Amino acid sequence: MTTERRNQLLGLETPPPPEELRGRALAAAVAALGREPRLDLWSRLWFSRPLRLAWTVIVLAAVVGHAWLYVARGSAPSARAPIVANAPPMRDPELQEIVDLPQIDRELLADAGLMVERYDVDNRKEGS
Amino acid sequence: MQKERTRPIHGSEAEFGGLSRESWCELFAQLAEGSVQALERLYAVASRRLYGLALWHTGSPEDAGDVVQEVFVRVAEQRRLLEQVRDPRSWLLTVAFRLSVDVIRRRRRRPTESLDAHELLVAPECEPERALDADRASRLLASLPEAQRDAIYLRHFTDCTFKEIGTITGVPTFTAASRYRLGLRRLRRLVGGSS
Repeated sequence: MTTERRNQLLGLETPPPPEELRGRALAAAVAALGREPRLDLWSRLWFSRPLRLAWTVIVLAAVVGHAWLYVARGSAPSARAPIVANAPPMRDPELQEIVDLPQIDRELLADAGLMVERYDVDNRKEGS
Repeated sequence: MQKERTRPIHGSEAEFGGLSRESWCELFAQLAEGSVQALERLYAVASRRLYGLALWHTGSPEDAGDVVQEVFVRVAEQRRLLEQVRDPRSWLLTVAFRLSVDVIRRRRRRPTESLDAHELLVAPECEPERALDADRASRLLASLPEAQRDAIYLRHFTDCTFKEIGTITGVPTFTAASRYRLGLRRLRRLVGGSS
């Protein structure tokens, strides 16, 4: 198969590597065999005990910190809770009326032509 | 067991694509043990194809030589991981290809000579009279974009499938195939135009 394909390229070959390359490449490789293998970040992390320990401590600290924040937030007043609901009742009735927003009259909304609302209201009437 | 592992690999050793996957894996297992003989055998089997790939990509014999040397250094340095390599042939080509890409990136920051100046193809030893053909073909190949030249090289000289070419060059299979076809089409057009 390769020969066939090569024939499509006029049966020509790629140039051979220079003679001196063999000695140079093998010498460099043999020298590298004697060295400690160069490892990537994850392999270094995996093979080194102190790094593995440090990684475990960091992960544990992150998990504990997350759990602590979760528990601490559970006992504190929720940030989303309405301020007015927790506030003491006001003495001024007029001010109280402004703060207590009136409920939207759904019947009026339906009469105003909001069909979705009417449908909603009709459904509720039928249900009741 | 040790004796079994270090026995020489038979078959067409001089042919890069001629080794079976089992033979490649056996060779890589020997390399993983740090065998110098296995390194020599790897050089005999793979150096020409790796050099060719680097030469076609970089266009410089010096850079191609450096790439081959660096591939062998990587093999020695990463010997612990070699036994996990599932397709040693593609792995070697991928390492050589990436190193060649690095050479090109580095070179873009410094002035360089033209690719036309170097021969990418030579006449077979038995047909020295075809040197002119080789010279003309080299010039035509030099005028192709790098990606198309890589695809043609990997397909013709290392017998890679399009999927393997895609894996080596880091593109989808379809892209590898279309690069190859575009490259050949362009080459044919150039041959037609120059004759």
